[in-house]
Amino acid sequence: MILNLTMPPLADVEAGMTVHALHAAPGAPLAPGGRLLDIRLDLAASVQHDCPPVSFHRIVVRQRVWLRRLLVTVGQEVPLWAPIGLFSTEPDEPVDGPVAGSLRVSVANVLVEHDWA
Amino acid sequence: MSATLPLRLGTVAPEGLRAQRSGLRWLVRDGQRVRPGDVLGYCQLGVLPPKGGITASPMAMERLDFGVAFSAPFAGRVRPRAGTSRGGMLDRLRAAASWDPEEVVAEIEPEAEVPPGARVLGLLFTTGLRVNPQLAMRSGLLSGWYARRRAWWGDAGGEAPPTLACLGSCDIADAIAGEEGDFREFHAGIAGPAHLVLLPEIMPVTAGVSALEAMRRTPAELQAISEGMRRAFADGPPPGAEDWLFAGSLLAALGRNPVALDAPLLTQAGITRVARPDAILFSLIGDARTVLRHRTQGWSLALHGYRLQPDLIGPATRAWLDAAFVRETRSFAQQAAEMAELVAALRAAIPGPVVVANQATTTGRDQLHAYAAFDAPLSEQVAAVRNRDWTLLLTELARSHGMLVLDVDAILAEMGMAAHMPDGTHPSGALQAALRQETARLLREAGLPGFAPRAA
Repeated sequence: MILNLTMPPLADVEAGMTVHALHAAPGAPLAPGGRLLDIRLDLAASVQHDCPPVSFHRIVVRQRVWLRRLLVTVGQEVPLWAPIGLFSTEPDEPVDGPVAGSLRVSVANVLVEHDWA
Repeated sequence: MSATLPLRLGTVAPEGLRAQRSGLRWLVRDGQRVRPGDVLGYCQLGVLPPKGGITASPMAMERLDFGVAFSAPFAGRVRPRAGTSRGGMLDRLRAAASWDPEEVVAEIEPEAEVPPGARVLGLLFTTGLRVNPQLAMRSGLLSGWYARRRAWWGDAGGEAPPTLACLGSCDIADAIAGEEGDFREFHAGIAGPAHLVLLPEIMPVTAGVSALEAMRRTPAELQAISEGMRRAFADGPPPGAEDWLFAGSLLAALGRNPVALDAPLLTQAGITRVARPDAILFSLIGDARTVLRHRTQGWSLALHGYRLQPDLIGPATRAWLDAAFVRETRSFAQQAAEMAELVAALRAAIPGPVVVANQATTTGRDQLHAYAAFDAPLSEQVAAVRNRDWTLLLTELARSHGMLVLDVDAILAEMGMAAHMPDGTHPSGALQAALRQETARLLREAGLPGFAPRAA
């Protein structure tokens, strides 16, 4: 079964979402709780604080899958609902078949090495 | 309804001092209904000994923005007298008129019987110590940029009232100073007398390692910092106005010891001095996880990252920061140790309670169902876990060090985070009011006089 992942809503306002880190490569098996990627969330476009509202969020898979195709790179801005990757529930099933549904993920606000650049 | 009663200014300067004032700036309309304690207006105020020029003011540098707000002594409809407000600079400069305690400046139609002697306005003194004495902004009461701002009732007796100092950060500063920044709401809610002081964030954050280092910094160390900046500016890109302002403001901040107030206080008995606060309030949000550590002098510069945005600092400052500092992110264990050290140092330095505000234990956006995706310790990776560890640490410090926790997390849970602190840092007015009440309750239960609720 082929599953896709699109950029989930991380905020309830317009936000810039950029890939900060990738934790898995194509072909990698992912168990429930496996880390996939970190997103830098910048609310500056809609929230005009003096202190830039920037936070980092880790997307974690909630089901056993194989990452088959990664459609984003580090530093890439990814709009809401834009495709991030394709996954399969078996290691070698054709990835070009119809998408059966969305990958189940969870998201957590994470701390990065430094609070600011 | 009772007959109209005159409201007199009352006494601001005890015998031996002469007082002058600006014109009055009214905040109420003619005939407006007011409650007891409502601020009706304000003016600038000057007090001087019988002889001597302006520099002889017992308020010292805080003479520059010394003001007084008038509050209603009882409920009724108030009518400011014509001619008391003169407009323009005459309402901003304190030399416009002599202060006459018997002068009637308003009338009031009381809603109930008024006891004899209650026909004098309540006088709330306010003043601020400017970050730089040249920075004048008299558009309102306490409308300048201050290294500290404070307020106390003018009817205090001879002894200095209990002093609460708040190390300001976004979550608690305006809870203490109020919507207009002049403390009127906090003072209106407590019986007093009390002296409320806000030490706002001048540039570095106000708590954590910043506060600890500020308490221990010697004049020689401050001089060395100043000298290092001077050399860096001499050797680097030519400094502009923004660089000099950064340098001056930073030195003002680094030289401010939160427990060494030495603040003159005008009371009915004259001038007293407040050497140090009786109680201190600060917040976890006033700490910083990432700091700049000076490579050779070792001191830390804990700034919110936004202050370093390219268009907010000058080239000479940027060059100095790049060359002289290394960025350092502290572990939770390091921050926790510093917090324990700070609480112990404050407890030793002041006689009354140390109150620490915690923060929301949720970020509001997590959908976490397992921790497998994070390395241990979780407090280094998951923001919500770090926040919860902070809450646990404060609970332990409350037991071991006798400090008090202002439980912002619990209050937010009751009021709703989305409505009252949507970004986890900046509170609504209603939340600020709740934090004020809770702060007063904590201080009252800790035995600090002056913080009982004001009688209805």
